Amino acid sequence: MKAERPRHIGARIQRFEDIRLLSGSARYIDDIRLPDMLHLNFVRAETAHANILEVDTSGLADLDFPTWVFTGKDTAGLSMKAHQDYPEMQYSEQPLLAEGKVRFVGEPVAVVLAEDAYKAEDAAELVFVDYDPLPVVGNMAQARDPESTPLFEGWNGNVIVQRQMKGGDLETAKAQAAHVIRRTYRTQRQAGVPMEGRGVVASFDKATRVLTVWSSTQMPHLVRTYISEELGLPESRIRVVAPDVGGGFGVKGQVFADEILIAWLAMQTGRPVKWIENRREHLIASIHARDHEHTLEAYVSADGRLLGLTADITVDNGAYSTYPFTSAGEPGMVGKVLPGPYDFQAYEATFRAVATNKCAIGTYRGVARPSAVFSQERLMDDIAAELGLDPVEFRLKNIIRQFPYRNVLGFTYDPGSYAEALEQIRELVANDVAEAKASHSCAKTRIGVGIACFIEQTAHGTPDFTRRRVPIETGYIAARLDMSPDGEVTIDLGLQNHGQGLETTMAQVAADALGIGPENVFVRHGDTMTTPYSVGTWGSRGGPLGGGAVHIAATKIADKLRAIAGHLLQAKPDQIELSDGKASVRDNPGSFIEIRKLARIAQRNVEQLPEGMTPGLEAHASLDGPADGSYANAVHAAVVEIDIETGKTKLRRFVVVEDCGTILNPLVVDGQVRGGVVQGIGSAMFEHFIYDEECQPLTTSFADYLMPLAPEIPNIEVHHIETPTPLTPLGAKGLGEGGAIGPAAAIANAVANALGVSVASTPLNTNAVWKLAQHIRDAN
Amino acid sequence: MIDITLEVNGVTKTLQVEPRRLLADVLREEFRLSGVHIGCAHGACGCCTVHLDGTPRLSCLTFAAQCDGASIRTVESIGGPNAEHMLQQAFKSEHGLQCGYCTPGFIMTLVPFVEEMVGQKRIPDDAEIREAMSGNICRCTGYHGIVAAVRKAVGTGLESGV
Amino acid sequence: MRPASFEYHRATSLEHALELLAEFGEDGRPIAGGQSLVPMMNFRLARPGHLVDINKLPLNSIESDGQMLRIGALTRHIAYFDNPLIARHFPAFLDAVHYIGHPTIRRNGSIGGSISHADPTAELAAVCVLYDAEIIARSTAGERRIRATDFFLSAYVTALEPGEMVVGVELPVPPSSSTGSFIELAERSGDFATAAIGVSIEFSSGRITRAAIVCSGADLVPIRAREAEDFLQGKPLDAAEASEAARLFATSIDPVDDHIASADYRRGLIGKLTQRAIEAACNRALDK
Repeated sequence: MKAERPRHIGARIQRFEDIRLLSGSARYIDDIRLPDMLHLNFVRAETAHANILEVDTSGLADLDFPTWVFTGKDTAGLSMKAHQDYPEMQYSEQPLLAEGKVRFVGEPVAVVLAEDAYKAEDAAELVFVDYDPLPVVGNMAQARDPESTPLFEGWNGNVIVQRQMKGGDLETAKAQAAHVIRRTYRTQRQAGVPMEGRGVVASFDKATRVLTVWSSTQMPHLVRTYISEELGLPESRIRVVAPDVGGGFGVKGQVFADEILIAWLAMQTGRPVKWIENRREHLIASIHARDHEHTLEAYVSADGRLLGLTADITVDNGAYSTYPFTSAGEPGMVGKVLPGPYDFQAYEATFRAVATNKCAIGTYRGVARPSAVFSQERLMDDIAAELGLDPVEFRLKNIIRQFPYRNVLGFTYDPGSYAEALEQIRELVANDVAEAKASHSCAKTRIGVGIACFIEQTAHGTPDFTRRRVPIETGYIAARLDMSPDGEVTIDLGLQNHGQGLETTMAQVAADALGIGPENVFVRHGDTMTTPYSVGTWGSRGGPLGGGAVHIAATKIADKLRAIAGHLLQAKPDQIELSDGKASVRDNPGSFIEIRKLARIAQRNVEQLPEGMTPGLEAHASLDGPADGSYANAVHAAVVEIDIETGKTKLRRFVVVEDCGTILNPLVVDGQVRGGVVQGIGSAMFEHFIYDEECQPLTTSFADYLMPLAPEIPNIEVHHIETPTPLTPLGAKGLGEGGAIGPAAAIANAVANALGVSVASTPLNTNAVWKLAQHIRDAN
Repeated sequence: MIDITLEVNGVTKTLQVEPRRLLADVLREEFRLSGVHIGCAHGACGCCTVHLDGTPRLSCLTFAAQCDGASIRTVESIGGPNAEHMLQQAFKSEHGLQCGYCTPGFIMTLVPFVEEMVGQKRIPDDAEIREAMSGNICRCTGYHGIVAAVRKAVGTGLESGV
Repeated sequence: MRPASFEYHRATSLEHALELLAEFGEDGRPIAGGQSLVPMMNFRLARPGHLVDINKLPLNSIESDGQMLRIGALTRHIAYFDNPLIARHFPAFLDAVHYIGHPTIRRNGSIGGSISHADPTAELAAVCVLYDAEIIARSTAGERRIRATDFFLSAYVTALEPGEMVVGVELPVPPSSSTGSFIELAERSGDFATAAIGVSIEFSSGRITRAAIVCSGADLVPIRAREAEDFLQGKPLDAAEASEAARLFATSIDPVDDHIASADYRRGLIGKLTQRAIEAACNRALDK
């Protein structure tokens, strides 16, 4: 059955979820309160690498209020196991509470529960841990030294995994190359840092043996599955609820040891248990991201064609492997995506993750791609500079223009607008480029323009995870729709909405398929009791796969509505059009019946249904992503103004041309792009988790971990090209992460352009830029 | 424990609190005002901003004990359950929020600014708007929609002659 | 991240506050805006047993007798913006206030709290050192006037004794033929400075007759650039000598090298900001 003419998809509809968020009536994890609830406070490791000699909890006996205390001895055997099925990978388990050894500052060693959060914090101060320090593994070089102290027993050194991926004939590319350009690029440790930290509340009902866990998570179903496997409780008896979630950005896109621990504690104590992460804990012990070093070598023909590329990729993974994307996920992603939007057919990447005594690396918006694109796009500029070519011209010479395109690793790219986006951005910043050139003889203030051109594999389906043998295992999203007798629709959505506007965009999709208004669609999500099993919200799949699943399920209901309407209006079902709340006969607008009447007939006045038709208007659909995903593309341009004498760098303009296929709601799409860009600006210029030589974290508050504030940020200009993909039902590609992928590269290229140097690393804070401008000061 | 009397969003209540209880916690726990959000608990993000005797104040840097006899406003009082204040409506139309966690703090910081600009009968430039919100961190929107919302709300205020 | 227990006392008069502080000694702390103290308490890095709330005391005024400007300890940072005495006589002070935190901090933070906290790069501490302020401290034993350069002993360490609190700050009012400027560089707006320079000059017939330069970021407390100040005396206002004064100062300092900034950068930055602040002050002088 053909889809109805879209009326709501693509419309700039204001979000339905806004009112509760604006009025203060939203319910976040800290708003969950249960009778008899205990508050949890962690005792966390203060030493990065040490054997635990003793955990002394005797001080708690002197308190005048009741406490409960648990250590690694109590939780022995319970752990997070995040194993990627690679034979050469060195496996580690993360105990729920440290057993015998701590491996990073912030690792939970014990928990103290009390009936009040302030008192729980008082009590936790009375737990004393005696450590016998071990040598720390503090950086990539130390971790790659075979003599370094292994973080885990039975390990050989601290390289967790090292693998290769390759395609094409590299030897020929090397032989034909007129230029070989080799560079090393570094991107720093950072994280998503949502404004709401993490938090977990768990309650076990002895009567029904049902465990309910509220968690500020992006993936409630996976939390349920892991709790079930680790605690041996059937999934049918576990309900995981993600209430309103105050930002995720991938940080909340893993299953955490504390989610299992708190569920276990609720069962052990028989009381509800609540933990609200504090900001220091969040900054040292939730999830970090990036921390990459890439050495790239490009082989380029005399006429500026990219012939081949080799890459050596290292990620400082920190101490533990995270579930479900594992330690291999981050460096493997770099290897996978480095070929990018350019046409070359010889490639070899060696990637490795190494273990250090730091917080574990996990996902953050873009997952490895901001680092990969930083290196890829810095390299493109460095090659262009070496060859004396204009950076945009050089890219256009190598950009992929024919689709579908099979890349060097065998991934098929669906149609995009790579060259158009580049050409469009060239126009948009032409005046800035001229102004920049004119400034390059100035010793005091320089302007630079940088661009970053990239593609993003989005909405990748199960085969992509099977290939990587990663515990996420699958990538589908499911939705269940129900039209009630009054004609109102409920969507129970497998995605979790934490700012993406899904309560609005999914309603738009359903409304178009059903011929009703989006305001008549209520989207529920985040509760495993009501929503169909799905992998959660991550990997830029909400629009394409969630939207696709909603569309398919809604179309099933629409088909049934057409059948009923056809029966009542004496027309064939395929002559019935659903629109504006009515089912009408095509070319006979006087012959119609209201959809809400059909809904009533389907469930209340069932005697009017066609013979043999079962009552009800429900449908379920699940949609897996395309095997290779759908590739969104974008070009980012940054214009910077640098004070050569102080290093102060002002971001004058930031321009985006992006193509995410069909746009479901431009208000939401622009918001996602802009938000991502500003996080990317933070990555490029401000944010950096720093450890000292003993692996003590130095950035433990918002006075040290510097996220962009409003005055540093320009308005973000966003332009769209729409190339719908044939691979998803609505033609939508993923777009949630893209904004964050380009800024580090674009800003670094702008700084390089302004200063006439290569830029090898981020963050480009004032000190770093000042250092890069040394030659200009010296010359004057 | 000490006795304090607070007038919060028009409701006066006398209660006993430990001196160390943060105003943010007392508003959340004793007054059940879920719109008061704690983002950092060290005065660096603006999420917990409320009005204390008419002035924006970080409720994570304030002890409830200090507020005896004070009048406090939280986001719940600004535009009611339907968020009807012109600034809240502008946040909605200009997409000035995504996850919503920082939003009450922004509203409480910016309502007095919008009123001040309307009082001065002028639309502030972007730099002024951004400076006015420089103590609030939003991790979702990139600030763009918030700046647009402030501009729009001031415009609405000027048109309606409030 | 919630404070340890303490007892709360609301002072009803200055005498009452001083009696309470005398009683509690090192275990007592006055609290005004709380913008510096409470974060430390929430991290449990500060854990006073007694807080003496001084917000109701009448210490919230800016007054001048023509010779001295007296600022009450509870004066909120925002009050300086529309104060004509500050604008007329203390341009570097007014410049500096723009760099303090953000609007909510400026509305609630007080000068007494800021200087008692003694963050090494706090703007008002630098202003006090620049203008040769005297910090007026009171205890039950009486009043002590402490020169700003003697008040700030190290990062977060002041000359205040247990039982003593800041009640005000006095700044000598510069002559009418004077001006100044304050320039700061921070990673983001409102952050504590990587470095900041304040300059105050007196001038006559196109020449500098007296110069004061303060720097935050070179040491654990704001320091004066005495050699550069002496050098500028008698120099013309065309600022040709600013870079030499800056060089003199920059080569004399030994800034810390840490994860926030390298020593080289700090030195280079301080030199450049010094030059710019002198130039800005001279330009203002020429405009007068």
